[in-house]
Amino acid sequence: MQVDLPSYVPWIIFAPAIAALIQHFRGEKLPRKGDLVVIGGILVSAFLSFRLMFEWAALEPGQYFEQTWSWFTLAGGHTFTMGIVVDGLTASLLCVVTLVATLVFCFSTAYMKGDEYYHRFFFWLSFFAVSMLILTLADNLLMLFMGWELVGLCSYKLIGFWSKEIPNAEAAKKAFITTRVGDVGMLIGMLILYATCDSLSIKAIFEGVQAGKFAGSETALTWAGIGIFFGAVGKSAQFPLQIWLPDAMAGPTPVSALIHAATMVAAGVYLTARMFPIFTPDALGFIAWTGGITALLAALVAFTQTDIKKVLAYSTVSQLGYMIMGVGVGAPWAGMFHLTTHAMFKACLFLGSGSVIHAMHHAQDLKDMGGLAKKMPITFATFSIATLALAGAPFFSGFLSKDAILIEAWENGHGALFFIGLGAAFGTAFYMGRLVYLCFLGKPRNQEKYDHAHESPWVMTVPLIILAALSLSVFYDGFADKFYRTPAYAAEFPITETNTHAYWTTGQRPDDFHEGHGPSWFHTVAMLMGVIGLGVGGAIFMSGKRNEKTRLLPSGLHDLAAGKYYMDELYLDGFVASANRLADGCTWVDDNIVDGLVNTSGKGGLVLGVVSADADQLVVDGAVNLTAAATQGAGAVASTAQSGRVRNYLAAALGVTAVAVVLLVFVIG
Amino acid sequence: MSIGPYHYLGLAAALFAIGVIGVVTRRNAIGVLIGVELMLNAANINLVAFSRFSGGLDAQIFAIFVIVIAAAEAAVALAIILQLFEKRSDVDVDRARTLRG
Amino acid sequence: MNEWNIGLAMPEWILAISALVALFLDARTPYHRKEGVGNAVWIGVIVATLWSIMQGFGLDGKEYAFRGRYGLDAFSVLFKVIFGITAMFVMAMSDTWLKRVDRGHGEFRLLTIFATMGMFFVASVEDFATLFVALELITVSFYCLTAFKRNDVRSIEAGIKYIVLGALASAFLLLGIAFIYGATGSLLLRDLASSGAADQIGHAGGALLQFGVLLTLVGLGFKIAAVPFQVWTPDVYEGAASPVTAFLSMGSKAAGFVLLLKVVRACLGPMADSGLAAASSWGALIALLAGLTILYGNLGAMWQGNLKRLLGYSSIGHAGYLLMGVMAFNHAGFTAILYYLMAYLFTVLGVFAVVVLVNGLTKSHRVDDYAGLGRTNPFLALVLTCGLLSLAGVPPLAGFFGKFLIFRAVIAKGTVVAYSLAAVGSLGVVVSMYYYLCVVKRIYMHEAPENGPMKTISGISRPMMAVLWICLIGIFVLGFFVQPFMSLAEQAASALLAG
Repeated sequence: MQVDLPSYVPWIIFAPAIAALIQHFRGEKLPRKGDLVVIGGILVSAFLSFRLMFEWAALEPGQYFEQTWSWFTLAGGHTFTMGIVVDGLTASLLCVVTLVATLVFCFSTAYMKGDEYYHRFFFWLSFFAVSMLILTLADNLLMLFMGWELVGLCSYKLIGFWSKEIPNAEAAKKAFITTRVGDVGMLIGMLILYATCDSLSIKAIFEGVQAGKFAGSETALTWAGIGIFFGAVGKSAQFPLQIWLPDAMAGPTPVSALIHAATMVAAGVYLTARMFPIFTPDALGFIAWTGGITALLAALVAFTQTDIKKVLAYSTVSQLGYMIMGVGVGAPWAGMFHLTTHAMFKACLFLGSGSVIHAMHHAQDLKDMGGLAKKMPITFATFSIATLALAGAPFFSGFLSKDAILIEAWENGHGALFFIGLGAAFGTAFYMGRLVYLCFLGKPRNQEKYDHAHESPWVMTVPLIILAALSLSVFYDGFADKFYRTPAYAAEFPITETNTHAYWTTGQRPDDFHEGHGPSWFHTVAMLMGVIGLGVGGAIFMSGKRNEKTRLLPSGLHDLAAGKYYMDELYLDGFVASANRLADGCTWVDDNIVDGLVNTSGKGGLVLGVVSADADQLVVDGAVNLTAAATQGAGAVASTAQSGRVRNYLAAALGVTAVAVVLLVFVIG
Repeated sequence: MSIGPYHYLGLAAALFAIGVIGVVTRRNAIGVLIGVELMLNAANINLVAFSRFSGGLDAQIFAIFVIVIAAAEAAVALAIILQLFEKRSDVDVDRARTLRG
Repeated sequence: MNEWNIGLAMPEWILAISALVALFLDARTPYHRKEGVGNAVWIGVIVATLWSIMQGFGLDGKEYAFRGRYGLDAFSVLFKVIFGITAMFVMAMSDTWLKRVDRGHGEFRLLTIFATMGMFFVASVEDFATLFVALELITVSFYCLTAFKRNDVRSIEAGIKYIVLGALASAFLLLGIAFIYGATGSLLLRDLASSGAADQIGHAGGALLQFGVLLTLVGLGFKIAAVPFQVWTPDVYEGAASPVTAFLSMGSKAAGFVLLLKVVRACLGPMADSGLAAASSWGALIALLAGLTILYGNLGAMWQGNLKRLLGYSSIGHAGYLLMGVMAFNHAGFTAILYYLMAYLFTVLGVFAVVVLVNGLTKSHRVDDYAGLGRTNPFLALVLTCGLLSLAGVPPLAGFFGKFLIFRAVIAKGTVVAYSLAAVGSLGVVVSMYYYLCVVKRIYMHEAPENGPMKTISGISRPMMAVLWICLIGIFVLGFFVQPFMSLAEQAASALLAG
């Protein structure tokens, strides 16, 4: 049921947008380099978001706010719209984004203090908030895609923020390009949906699917779904495109907390949950397994990392896999629930690590840490609470959401995924236990750094305390049912024909469905996994014989995981090297065959006898060019055809024209 | 033997082909230019022939325009070739390959 | 239709008169005082453009002049305005650029206005003879402009390459026109559309006509830098002076598309309308050329270290996207092309305006030498970044909507060929993001070397400042306020289809 949008909603986007504009043009000259303007903008946005959330919560179940504006109309009356939809998904994500953003902005004022480009950093943060809010509020795929691309751009800029160091710039580029690979899939998915439903409005797509526009071509719908999901694979760092997220830790830590833990990377999960009704059972299976595999593989890598942020990064990948798995097993509400809780405790963990790094003067390797609990009690306490939440200990938020995903996996008949999830949960608890022990407990391993360490200022600790508090389970009682069970549109368009898992879309469960709590031993097992994992993970270091370098996995597996499954190498060798070979091949063809043809045909046509003075030049030139191109390394496929010789150009033009003529003759006759 | 349209077309085709071969095989810029001129004139012969055998006059007038344009083009081309000669002391188009890649 | 009605061609007359005045002034003034020439040219272009706009308001359907060989409709008016704006932007850039050159100021401006006049004629072309002459007027002017830096061997080389390939393309075009004339007995485009030629093109018997249309399209491919006549682009872009490159990349390309659209509309449009099977074969052929063009341009651009050369390859890529719209053969496709070109106008000229300014300082076009631009010249960096992102098609900038509409039109065809082409196009979009971002990365993320030439650029002339601002605003406006420009494009496309 649609309700008109309160008039202040656009200001949720406008407020930070205006702040970003001011910051861009005047930031450097403002007092405090303009950070207060940016924080003011996001505060307004956060206030309005919470107000909106409460207003939405006061609506009847199944009601949602929506308003669309006509954007432009094409001939034939086809209108494109811009619109805002606010349902439980949007409302909760809005609050998460604005809340975490506010806290991270405050945190950054201390963390980034004295940076040369302080004002620029705040501009990009603010711009990111705007983009993320556009993405969140969009009611059509076009607008969503705009936000999607813009957050990618901001992420690129912010990862490479300290770009004087080459690896940072490389990491930024890698992140951008890897996610773009996913975006190709998303574009194709969008195009299939558009071609069939003739609209990019999410509501219209659901209507179209329900009206049977895909009837008889369910495969197309499956591919559309997988295409859309592929966008999420890139953005949410799922297997096999997960390689960018750990490298993205090159950015400043507040950026990691905001973009690469709490909000942007979760956008993929949000997209998958939002578009849930279009996924066919095949597509859902694909999604679920992608998520499950990611969750497990990333958890294993986290065992081997010695950089505090890298551990957290792999943990994020793993948890995102969890959420995706939740959506895939037919419980988007559980995935979204985990997204919300995860945003809080993971932001807390990242900001905690930021606090540690700040205290250690930008050292972030575990070898320099140990025993910091005494020096940094607040950071330690909040970090521990968030760790308990991440590990899924009872009374903490992670317990509820992780439990929900596991139970749904079991009850929807994904036994294998259930055990994978259980394994990943144990792994998570284990490496977090390891991290906390190595960082905060035991003896200091670098006495000098330890002596200089100090607790962070209040602007950094207060956000930590707030986030840690929000990692307690008391805040989330009945939360998932309220927010995620009846998303917009879904109740209006039950799409049961193509999507048997989609009880979510009907708003009611089929009769044979278990009331989502499962057998009682579930909770016990899940709880045990978390608690035991944490305990073991910490305890094995107690003796003091082991340190961050100790191999915890069987040797072969350790090497594999520490090498990140050699996927970077695979991509590098597989794609880049074959591109090089292809380029070399093209050069060879160009220099030998094309030139040869030109020369021989020319001479052959005019002079009898093929012996030509060009022959030696041909060979010599060919060899020289080949070497030159080979040393050029990445020498281009297309640009090697650009030999610089005008006769080659002429020959190429004539040749292609001749081919076109031949085609014409054969095709049309 | 009466001269019909096909004779003209055949002549034009032959001229065009000679022009193409000249353009592709000549390394001397002036040679290339001559090849192009042959091609343009082959097309011109076609135009006039079609015009002669199908009535209207407009294509014959068009052919005169084309001749003028070809002359302008040749003038500009020769000027540029002269500049090339001044810079490099030869007019080998294959050796003018600083721009590539 | 059989009237002379020469007043209709007033913008062209104005340009011709101002060109003659400029020619006269040029001959009468010493070489270091060519302001008079510049003023004559400026006045000519401004008045001609304004006149075209006025004509656009008073336009009712389609009007003819020169006994039906010159036509004016919404399509022509739109393009005359586009060409006028392009010429003004290019002249602002050349004024800046010419300060660094010691002679030839008068000639440079004259050649610019002759090329502009050719473009204005192109927009009103109604028969093949006018088409060829107008096109050659542009092309020959550009031969001279390309080789203009006559002390620079690279410029000469660019000129040689441009003229040799251009002449070959002209020969193809002319042969194509001759064949079309031979098959239909008329040089008028509208006769072609109405003479039932479509049946011939669609059937085995129409070999002469088919061959003619193919050669015509291939010959026009030279102007738009599409396969198979794309090879000259990077070399010429690199070798020519920057304002010339800017003019080539927008004015010359747009003129090529105007003619291509007119020819396609006349030859292939009726065939598509009557639903002949051959329409899809022609569509497939164009799709093939479009796909190859996209791949060639975008893959070639990936490894370029010279910004102008990179823009040359990217220009090939854009020709490919525009050809995608041609492949659609319908109103949606043509609208998309027109919108794309409007967006391209602000985008590419904004980029080149920055290139001209930076080159004046650093004497270099290497991408590496753009390091630190974000620090030293934040405004220029902003314009360049927005321009490049718009070229890459990042929403919500102007370039995104152009691409979006093109893809939409192609997808709507719903054939396997269309889907494949769209897939190739998406690949191109992703690849292009890489090389545009490499430049953006240089601008913002790398420091200028100590003692390097990169400094704050001062003394940017007022017209140049105006160009930068208009381009920046245009990039955003065409991304956000789509409707008014969309309806302009739609009107023009309808006028084109009405014939």
